[in-house]
Amino acid sequence: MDTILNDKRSNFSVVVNEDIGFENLEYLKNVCKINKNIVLCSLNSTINNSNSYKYGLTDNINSINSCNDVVFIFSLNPKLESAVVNTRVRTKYRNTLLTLINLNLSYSYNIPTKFVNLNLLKSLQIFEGNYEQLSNLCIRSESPLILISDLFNKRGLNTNDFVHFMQLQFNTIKIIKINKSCNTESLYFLNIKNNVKNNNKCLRNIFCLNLEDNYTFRKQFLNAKNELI
Amino acid sequence: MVCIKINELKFLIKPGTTIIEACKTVGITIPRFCYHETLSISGNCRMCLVEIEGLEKPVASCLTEISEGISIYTDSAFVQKARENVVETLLLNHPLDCPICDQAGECDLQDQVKSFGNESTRYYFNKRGVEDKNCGPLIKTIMTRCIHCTRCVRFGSEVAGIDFLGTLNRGTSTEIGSYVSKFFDSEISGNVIDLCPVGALTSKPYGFKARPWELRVNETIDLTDSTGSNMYINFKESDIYRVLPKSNKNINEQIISDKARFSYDSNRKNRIKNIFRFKPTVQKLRTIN
Repeated sequence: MDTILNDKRSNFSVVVNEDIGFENLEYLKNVCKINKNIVLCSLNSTINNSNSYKYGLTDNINSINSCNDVVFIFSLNPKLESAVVNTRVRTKYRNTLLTLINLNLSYSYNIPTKFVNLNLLKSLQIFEGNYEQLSNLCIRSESPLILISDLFNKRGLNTNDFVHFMQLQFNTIKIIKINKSCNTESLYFLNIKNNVKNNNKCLRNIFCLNLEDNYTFRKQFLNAKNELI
Repeated sequence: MVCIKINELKFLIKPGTTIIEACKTVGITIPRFCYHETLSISGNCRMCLVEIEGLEKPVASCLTEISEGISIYTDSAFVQKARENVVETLLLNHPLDCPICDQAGECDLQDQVKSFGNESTRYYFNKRGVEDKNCGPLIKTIMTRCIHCTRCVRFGSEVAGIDFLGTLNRGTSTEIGSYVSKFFDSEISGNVIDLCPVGALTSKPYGFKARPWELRVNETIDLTDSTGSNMYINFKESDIYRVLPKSNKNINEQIISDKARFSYDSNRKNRIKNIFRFKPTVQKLRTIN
């Protein structure tokens, strides 16, 4: 980083994605202020600027208070996507010792939780009673809480269908949907260039921070002149 | 309900309530530093001392629960003297650097010293110095100002879920800090700035930019996520200087995310300041004077 900061002649670009933490982002922003030749850009090419202040369902953030036993987190990282919701869940966890089941790939989380990595169909079978331990948690619960996000639709199931299905199974179920991926939103609000592909200045000395080598990544850097670091 | 007396007036209060909460429900404010509604009770600042009839010593109202027939005095000469002593003790090592402190004007200690403190000090020795901690790019620490209320420690371990800060050493050597130097890596770390009753933890981006009395306040909601947290925007002329949470029990209580708190600077850059006209032939936006 010292080499980059002292080199005032060359152009550098630092590429991040939405998984980057806010503090790191703030740090990189300060680096960009010191050396104007450093450009911070994100890998995501499409960012939705619209926002929603309502939950798509009848339950809202206050429903967390009425849940006393089990919370299922489905296709969501509440810590990143809605810090306020996560704080409310954590406060509730401290007061009532909730059981949290995370139906996701494992990630760093600040509430003790059990990660269950299943595909969509098998995840739904939990609520049909096919998995003894997990299903019992849901069946015995007075008012289970499910947190879902926009990614849920991307996994191939309509949210409305899921809600209808769950309400048939459990009358007292609470479902909270967290709209929009907040980190993607934050990249927009932090004034970071989001289109690497069309920005020639970005395609010189490129530092990629914690990015996966996948199709989206390679597509963005087809025209890159130098090697990626 | 329990019948209690507060300053010779009778009240019916829910059993199990602490004295500080009971006083709050009847409209009496008791000064405090360490007590906070959203955090657990620690009772280490002793600022909330009250007198109970029949007891020789004053008691910490944040820790003591009410009982049937108890008679509490919140503003007697005995209580005033106790508060005066507590404030004097807190000021033993607190530097009098209010003119260069970012918290000045909204500092709990400043307000309470003015209201309950003595006019002069009896302490003429050197004050202790404490090394500042590096909490990352968002939080500035000046630990000599710390009064060890441990609000930040409790917030970290109870609400944020990371044991970043803790209390080190004992007695006059007590320090707030992390044993191993590291960043406060939490998505809600900025809230410790609001929780800190003095200027020990302040905002780095807002540092030395403006004084609270110069700023105008507007209510708004958080645009950076779908929760719609309530917040105040502090601005001067047309520039936003800082964002603070607005208490709303139904949504965000008193917490906002770091993203909501610190991403205001992009508004200056993203703001449309000119009128544009789209020309379909050129496929470009052109400024209209």
